[in-house]
Amino acid sequence: MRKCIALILCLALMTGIAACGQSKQDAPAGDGAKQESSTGNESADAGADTDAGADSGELSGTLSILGWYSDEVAQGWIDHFNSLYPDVKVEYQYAQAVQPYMEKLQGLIMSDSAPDLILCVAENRVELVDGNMLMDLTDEHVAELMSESCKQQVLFRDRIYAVTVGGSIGGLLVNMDLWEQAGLGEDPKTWGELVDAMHALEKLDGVTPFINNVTDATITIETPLYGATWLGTDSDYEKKIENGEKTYADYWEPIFEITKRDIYDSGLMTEELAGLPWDTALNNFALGQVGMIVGASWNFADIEAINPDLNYKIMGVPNVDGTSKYYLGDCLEPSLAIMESSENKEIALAFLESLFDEESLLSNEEQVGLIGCVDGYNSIFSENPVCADALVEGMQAGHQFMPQTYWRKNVERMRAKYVENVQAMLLTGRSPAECAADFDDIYNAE
Amino acid sequence: MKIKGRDKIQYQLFLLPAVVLFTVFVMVPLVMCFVYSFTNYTVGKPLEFVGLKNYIAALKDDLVVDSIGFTLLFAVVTTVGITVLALILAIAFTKNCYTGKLQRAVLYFPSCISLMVAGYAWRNLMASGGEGLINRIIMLFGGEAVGWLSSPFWAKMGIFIVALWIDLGWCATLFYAYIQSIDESLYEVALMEGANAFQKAWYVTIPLIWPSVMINLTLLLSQGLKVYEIPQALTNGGPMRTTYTMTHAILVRGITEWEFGIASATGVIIFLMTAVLCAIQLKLGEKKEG
Repeated sequence: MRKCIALILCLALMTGIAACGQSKQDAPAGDGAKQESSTGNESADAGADTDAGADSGELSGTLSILGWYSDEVAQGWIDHFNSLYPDVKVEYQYAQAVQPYMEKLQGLIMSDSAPDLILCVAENRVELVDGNMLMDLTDEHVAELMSESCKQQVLFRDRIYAVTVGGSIGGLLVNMDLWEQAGLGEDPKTWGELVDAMHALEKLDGVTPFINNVTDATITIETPLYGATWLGTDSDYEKKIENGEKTYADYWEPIFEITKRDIYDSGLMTEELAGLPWDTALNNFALGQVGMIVGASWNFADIEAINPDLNYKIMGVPNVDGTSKYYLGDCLEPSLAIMESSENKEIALAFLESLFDEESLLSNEEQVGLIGCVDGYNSIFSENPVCADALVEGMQAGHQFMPQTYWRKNVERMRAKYVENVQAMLLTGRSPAECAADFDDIYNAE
Repeated sequence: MKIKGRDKIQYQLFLLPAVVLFTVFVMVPLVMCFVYSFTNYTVGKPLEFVGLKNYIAALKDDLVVDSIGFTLLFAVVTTVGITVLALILAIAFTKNCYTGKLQRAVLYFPSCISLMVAGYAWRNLMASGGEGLINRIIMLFGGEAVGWLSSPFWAKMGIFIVALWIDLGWCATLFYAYIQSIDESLYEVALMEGANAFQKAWYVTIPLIWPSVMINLTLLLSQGLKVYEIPQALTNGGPMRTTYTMTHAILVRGITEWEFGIASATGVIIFLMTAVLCAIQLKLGEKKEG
């Protein structure tokens, strides 16, 4: 009797496990996840699940995409693509940025059901490229469509694996009314002038002169200062580190020394300000209580919702001698890459090329404020006084810096250490030399 | 009552769905986690046996070590703190009061809220300077504003406070329900013997509700060792990585960095720690009951 029961239990268990493994083989790629969330275009031929046709005008089949853009954004791309290729069915799956997206992508890759197009971003680029999971787009036509600024930011080990059409521009969001009240005129041309401007704002009654975001590596004042200090003169710095000619400490220590001395030790940025949730800091800026904060175009909607009359603009951060000025943000949207395992590469390439059409670019800008940076395209943001200068000097000139896109190894550990050390310099007075040396320790670790 | 052979099979067949589900969704992942902890398992690379390398890496990893320290502190402080305060509160609930039901409802309410939502709400309440409500109240009474989100010490305290706020009412309600089942005559005897309020609680109430205290301690301890949402929403592991928890560390190493071997090894370490702590706790509880 016991044997009988054990047999039944074993059979039931095996059936359960087999059913879990079987479901993927039975379903076409992407179908399983489509049930969770999708923006599949139903107008396309639902039965067409074949490989792409030979001629681009006759493409048919199913294209699957995993992104972290909302269904509305994706629908803009899909509608335009389907106006060009009506016989292609596009299945879009959404996962929230960043961690849930990575989790879902890993699950799909591990179960051999990866979509055709995925996001290749700083957080997963090294693993995807090292695992030979991405199609090399360097010699494809779609790579030629990218502006130099975009190419520069997606270039990884001299190859292109992802396609971008623009992104965000950021820097110092400056309240221009307070700027004038403080007797300030032109944009600061050197780092010293910028610090003087912060001190001038400090003298205004009830005004916080500056708030640095010490919880996010992308949005700190250190990053544009780094770009202005090094990238203008030594753009190959990562290669020098790879070759062993230089260390991260050589580059980061001077930057940390400057910000620690001028921003943290001088009392411009205090422990109290570090304890503000960032949405509160942004709210205070929008209400005119803060002279400048670090921020980017993704903050525009929130600021305008709180105070549509706020007179502000994005300023770049100049280096010490005033020879270069850099901005925050990136040209990394949407960073779509084609999986090497995809059986629909031709359709995927056509989809990527369609992102460069004006309809798609316009849809990006109107829906979510992703600024188009494509040669020959006139962005609607170029008329926006808040970011018009920043677009020309920063985005179009390629003078934007986000450290994660430059780091070549252990990116997430570097990012986490960066945040931790910026906080440590402010809260515990940790020395810039120690903070900078940590990057090399992480980079050189196995 | 003796169950006949045929009935036994029927009963065991009823268990089958639960056994299958438990095996597929708990036992299999647990075993796989154990196996992966000895491999270089990651996306897109062939699986190789690496021995104890992942365990050594995990124990040398500052993030993992720091997160173990904070998680243990969190588990102990919240388990002991919530249990003690809940006992006091439950005993207070038994006193006749017009607003008794309302008090219980109000205190129970936080346990109905999503932990993430609670964390984000408290983050704004604990904002620094005069921005947060709590600091405003402190300053109103002449105190100095506290860096709830910027000081390593106060950030930890803030997390403990939110955890207490969430679980206190639930645990107090559980104890209160047990106290209701205690025979009133025992208190009358204690009163006749001249016992004061503390002695009645210590010699009558607590021994009689001890099984529920033990269950509560076990649940709180295992919940504390798995904590993630509150610190994530409140401090996101900061300032300076001082409030990372073990679950958060596993997520960072596994999901964010794709280092599944180290993440699995950390998971196994946590599993063993939880098992040992729960065993010790149960042993101590048995002694107390004995």
